[in-house]
Amino acid sequence: MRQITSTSIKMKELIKPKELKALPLTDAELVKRAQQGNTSAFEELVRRYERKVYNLVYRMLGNEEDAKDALQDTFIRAYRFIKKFKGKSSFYTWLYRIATNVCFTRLKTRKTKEPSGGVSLDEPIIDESEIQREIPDYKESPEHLFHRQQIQQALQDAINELPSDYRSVVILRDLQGLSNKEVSKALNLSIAAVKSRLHRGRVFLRNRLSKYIVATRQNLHKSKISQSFAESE
Amino acid sequence: MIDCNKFFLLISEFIDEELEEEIALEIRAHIKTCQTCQNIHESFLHIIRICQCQCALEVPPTVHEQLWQTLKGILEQDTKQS
Repeated sequence: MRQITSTSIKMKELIKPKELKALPLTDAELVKRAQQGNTSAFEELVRRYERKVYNLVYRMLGNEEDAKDALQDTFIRAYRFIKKFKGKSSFYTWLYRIATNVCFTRLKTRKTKEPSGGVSLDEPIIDESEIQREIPDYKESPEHLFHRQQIQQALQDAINELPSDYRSVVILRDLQGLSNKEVSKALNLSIAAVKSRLHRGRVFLRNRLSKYIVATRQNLHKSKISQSFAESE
Repeated sequence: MIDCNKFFLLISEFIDEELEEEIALEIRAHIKTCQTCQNIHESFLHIIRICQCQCALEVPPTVHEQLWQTLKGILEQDTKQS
């Protein structure tokens, strides 16, 4: 793992490079510049996809520590190999392929380290609620918020249990919103294989989350009742 | 002819609207008459919605800083070498 020795990094300089401030370039243009050795262009690509890649690797690996390392590895590999990127797919599809490969490698290493398949009791528990999220919707009722957080945690737990082949497809397709074609390119799979894995992954999640599906229905029913009650008042 | 088993195999593609219209029509007709498949259909829609409604995680500040610290080191090194 890469350690930082100083936190005095001038983030603003990195975030707003003067030469790129004026006009937004397309990914393809940035890639071209980065391939010619323009490091600012590569930095801009990192800024564009840092969050998306973090979400992908976090969902794949299930904890912040591994996600942090995977995020770094992904962008370092992308930087090292950007000259080999031929533009046959979009940049982010290529980037997602790197990220999923990084995750697969980590998951394999984890498997050999944990023959029991379990998590060490000494390992600190990372509560998903500690993770910084988008600004919450304060109109949401505490009950609904609590229920949503429960579902989110249950979903992440279920994703962690998914076989990694299905996991990557489900995350890219249903959580990241890629099309089947994009997923097939990102994972180097046929469309038929993507569809098959997606279906199996969804079946797995449906079985794992069945009690939440019922609860969500009841909640929706309750909120519809209270809404119509409020409207009638 | 669509039966329950076939419906279950095709449900993902049906939801993703990736089936031929003829088959999709048969499935719609089957769902109308089969309560079990109707429930399965709803449960799949729920799962997909749950996935889609996941909040996008923010990159934690420490993770962001470490990423940029590392990248900056590598990029600067390469700039010097070139």
